[in-house]
Amino acid sequence: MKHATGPTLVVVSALLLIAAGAGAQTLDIHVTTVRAADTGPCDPQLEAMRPRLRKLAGYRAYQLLAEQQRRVPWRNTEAFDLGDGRSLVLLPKGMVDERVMMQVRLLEGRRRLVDTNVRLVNGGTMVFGLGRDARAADGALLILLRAEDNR
Amino acid sequence: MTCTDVEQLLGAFVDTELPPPQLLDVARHAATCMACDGAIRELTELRGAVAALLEREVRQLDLSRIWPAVDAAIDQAPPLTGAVHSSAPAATRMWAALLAVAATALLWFQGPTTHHQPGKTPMTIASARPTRTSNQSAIDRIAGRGITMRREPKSGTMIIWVSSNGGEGAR
Repeated sequence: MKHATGPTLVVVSALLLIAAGAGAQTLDIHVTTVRAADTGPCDPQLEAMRPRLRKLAGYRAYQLLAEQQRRVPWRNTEAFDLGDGRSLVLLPKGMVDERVMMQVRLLEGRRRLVDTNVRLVNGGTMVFGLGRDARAADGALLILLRAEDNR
Repeated sequence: MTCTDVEQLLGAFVDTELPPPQLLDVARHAATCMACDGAIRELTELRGAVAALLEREVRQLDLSRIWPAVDAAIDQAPPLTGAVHSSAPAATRMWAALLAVAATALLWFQGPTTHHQPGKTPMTIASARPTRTSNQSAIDRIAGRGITMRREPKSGTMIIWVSSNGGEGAR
């Protein structure tokens, strides 16, 4: 009886260790899409960010379109639907010096608009802008990407 | 996985240093092999016994003799004028070295522990992380058409701007 329970205990302990490890090895990804325009009201939720967005994108008014938050396992590809046939495809690769290394692809249908490898400060945000030009009159789409390792 | 494989991975398995798939392979083998299961148990018990022995020995050390000896050595030492050199008696140095080794070994065998004091909030890993003051990100590689990049000087936040008629076809 003693020997019968022993191996089972070892297996259960190993499985628990693996489960604990797998649970810890994820990344919190936030993708926020924002419509930027030169005129119109600014979303109250984005009011605090407006000065920074204005410096970055050059527009005056910002409307929140969607917010998505997911816990993504490392080395797994995750696609975020941005609407209008666009998507943001992420592949978190690892952490180096408190920076999240990630492959980021911005797609429009099957067209690759951007394909990049970035090192994002853990918990930091980077922005993708999609429009004619930063200061064009017909508005633009901003995609805010934030990644935080939750180990 | 064979018994020979397990034998080579035994130490790393007991210390849970193996990658998860290998950990599982060893555990699966041990579940069906009495000899390897026994070896794992023996090694686990041995490490526990060594840790317990070290802990006992460290607790039995009489530290009351250390500081008077150090004080006496300091009093007897001539003032340092040039290079730093050791002037403590050999016995004191030996005690200090022994204590350091024992304390290190004890910490190593015990592994990371947390002691919560009642009424005090335990510090979490998240709060121990350095405060982020910069949002500076870096680009290792970028592909696409009509791309411009700019950075907000104050926070370092980067924007990758894609002109709406840019982009390349999927390959």
